[in-house]
Amino acid sequence: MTFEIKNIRIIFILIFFTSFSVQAGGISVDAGLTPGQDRWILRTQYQYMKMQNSNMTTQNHMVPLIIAYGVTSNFTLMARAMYINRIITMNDAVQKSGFNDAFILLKYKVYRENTANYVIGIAPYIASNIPIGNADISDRTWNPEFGLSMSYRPRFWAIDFTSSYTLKDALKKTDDQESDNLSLNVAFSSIIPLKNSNLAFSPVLELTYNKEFNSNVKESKKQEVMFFSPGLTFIKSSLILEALYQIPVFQQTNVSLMKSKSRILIGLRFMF
Amino acid sequence: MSNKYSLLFTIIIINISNLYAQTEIDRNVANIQNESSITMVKRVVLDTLTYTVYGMDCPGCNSALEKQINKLSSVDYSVADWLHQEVMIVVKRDSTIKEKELFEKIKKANFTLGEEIIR
Repeated sequence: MTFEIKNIRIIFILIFFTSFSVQAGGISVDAGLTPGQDRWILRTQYQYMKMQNSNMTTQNHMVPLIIAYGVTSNFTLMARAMYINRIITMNDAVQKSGFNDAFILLKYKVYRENTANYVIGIAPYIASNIPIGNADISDRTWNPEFGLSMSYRPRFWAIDFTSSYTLKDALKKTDDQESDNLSLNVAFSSIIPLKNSNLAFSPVLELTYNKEFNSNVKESKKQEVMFFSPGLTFIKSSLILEALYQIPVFQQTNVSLMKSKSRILIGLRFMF
Repeated sequence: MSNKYSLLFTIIIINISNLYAQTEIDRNVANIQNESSITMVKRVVLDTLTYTVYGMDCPGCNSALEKQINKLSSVDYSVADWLHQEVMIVVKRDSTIKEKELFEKIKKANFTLGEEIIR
């Protein structure tokens, strides 16, 4: 049971990167653009995910709270706390609730080009959890992440791409080493103005690929998963409503590991 | 008895008349206020600048740009329009905007100042 619960935790950490992009574009995929100086972004979501193998089912209800701030026009700081309610069903159902580890991210814009016809942006970031979460939810290890986000936005279209690499248990606190994670995400969206310049909606399509990646870890503990995710955002001035449905289209896991089912994300962003 | 009813009827008529008169006064006040607004708009239009701005790609960008431009002491307020890639800036009376300062503020919002639009 302990082994399997650890694997649940792996998948959970891998998939849910929450972007804080101030513009429209990807929902779970971050943009290569940074918000302006002195710009605040508040974001919250409801996320539901279910995982299953032959003898166990896990359901997670999650509410992340995200705050991001444009320290300068180049440099953005983001912090996230996430409340989780987890129900594990084997023979009986066990429920665990609490805050997961805090998460901080520093992003730096290295390139941005604004023209009449397109916007291009490139921004690398470093991030890490801070292992202060509830003991039932967190494994109390440090998992630093290094990423690169790029955006290309030709007027009413947007393509955002983010790749990242997460080092699991960087301080080697646990004996049972987990795989590192490579993540490749791309989001395509189109922005459709409504009535005036303060209203728009935007259909979004995301592709998310995660691969556990570490030659020191046994093959049986590595997984690969790909999601195809249609979504929709509605933008009214500084408020964005968003919804995303993540469908697993490809999964390669060991029999004992959990397989992902479809996931739901409903969110709200406020910028000022 | 009929005198009482006559008195009551008279009072009601007087009140309705007063009410009507008050409504008329309110209408007149509203008209005067509207005229003042029109005058105000005319004055403001004289102190308005419009520029092209590149880099805005959704309605959320409007407030990001306005926030930076409104920090300029010479700016009364601004209205950004991501759809047409422009911003209208209302300048305070007896103030001028230095284009270099405006350029810097727009850059801080991560956008790029374009040409001035003369209409």
